[in-house]
Amino acid sequence: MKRIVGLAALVVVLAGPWPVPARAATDHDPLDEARKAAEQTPFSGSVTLQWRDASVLREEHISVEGTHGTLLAQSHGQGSAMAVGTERLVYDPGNGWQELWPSGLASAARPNVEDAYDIRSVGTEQVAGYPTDVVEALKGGTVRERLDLEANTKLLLRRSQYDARGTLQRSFTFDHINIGDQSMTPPTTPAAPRSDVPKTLALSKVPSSEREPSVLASGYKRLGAFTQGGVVQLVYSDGLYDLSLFQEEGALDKSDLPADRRTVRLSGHPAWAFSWPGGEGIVWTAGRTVYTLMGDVPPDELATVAQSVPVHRSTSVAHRLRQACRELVESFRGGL
Amino acid sequence: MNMSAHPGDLLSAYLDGELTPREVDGVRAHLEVCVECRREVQFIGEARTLVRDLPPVDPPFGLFERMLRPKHRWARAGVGALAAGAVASVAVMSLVAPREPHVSTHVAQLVSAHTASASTSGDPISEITPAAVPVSFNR
Repeated sequence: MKRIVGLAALVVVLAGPWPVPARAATDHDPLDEARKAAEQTPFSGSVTLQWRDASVLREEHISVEGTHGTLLAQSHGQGSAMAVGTERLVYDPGNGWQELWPSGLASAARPNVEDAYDIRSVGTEQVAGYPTDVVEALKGGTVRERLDLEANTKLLLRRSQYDARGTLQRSFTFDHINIGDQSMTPPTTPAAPRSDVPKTLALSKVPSSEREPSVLASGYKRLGAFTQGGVVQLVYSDGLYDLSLFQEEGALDKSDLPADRRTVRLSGHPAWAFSWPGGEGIVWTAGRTVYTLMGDVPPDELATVAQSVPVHRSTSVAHRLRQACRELVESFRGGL
Repeated sequence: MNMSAHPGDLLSAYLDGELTPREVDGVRAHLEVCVECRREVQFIGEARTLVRDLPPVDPPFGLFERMLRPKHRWARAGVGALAAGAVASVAVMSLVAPREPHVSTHVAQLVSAHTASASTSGDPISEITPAAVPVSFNR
């Protein structure tokens, strides 16, 4: 026995320490590097998008190209999205091109990603034939996002998002990409898109009851407010993900909710969750207000954040009684 | 909070401790300058104290059993009438009472608004690409 232990000790000494994967902290914001690379580097390729809708992992293939600060993403023969500088446009066959964000409107600056995440480099890999530097973003010791940046240009070639249990929730992966073709011409921008764009709203103009709080759970900081069609949008970010909170006065008409919604519980009250390729959303009511919170965050984190939104409970006894009666009647009708 | 406007329903919530710190500050500031609201707060507080101070009363022995299994036909009818009245009250409250204005939460529009604002601050390729997938929420 002694001989075996001695032999094992000799092997350890000769072999040196166990190989440990490189996990160095990085002092760069990887998304900021990716944004600059996307603005400066000509590329064209195809992307596979995956997103989890309840337990189903859905998939879509998109063609993407970009040069001279203009990006065009096209799903096969159906929809398109375009970024021209800071302007954002979408196209769908039924409605044509629509401008979502005008070029002159300043976006809200994100906080430093390292305020809420530990960012670490975890080595190199290959994506679509290009070497990548792999960076992980950890919150509370859990990997939430894994980013593959092309080693030379820093273009983002793969992005994978995980929930707290390590299950993949969403991914963006270049299956094929051609980088650096300087002869590429920018995509043609639509001539006269319909325009229904938001406007910046000074926080002092937002009713005080809707303005708070400035910070939500999991380190989301309020960046600003916008208004569109009479609805106020508060924008929050933790440096990696963005959240939008909408508050509308009145009673929720459940027939307006997405057909594929999932009923969930939020602090003991019913709420309705939904997914789309770009994120997760949740709708709930409290008192006389309908709340909608959405973002590109993992669903477990969205639920955590939603519970931290302070709600305006009705203070009128008559209103509470009426609501209680209505909920009682609706529960018999199966209205939930 | 508007100092000149009476807090109304907020006064009851103030006594219940249901307000946010900011709302509490607003109500307190208003109470300092409004005699009428101070009187109302005092009145609500006194009424609650009176109710709380009422001694607990134990029901007579066998009351619930007698209610659930009344001996007389007229008593059974009374219990039935009470139950029917309660159901009718709930139905009337839920159906006849004025309704809140309905909010049409156009989720697709809110998603577009969110996508636009989010795609301008992060990596534009991965943020804008999902917007190319037409989404139908199939209402």
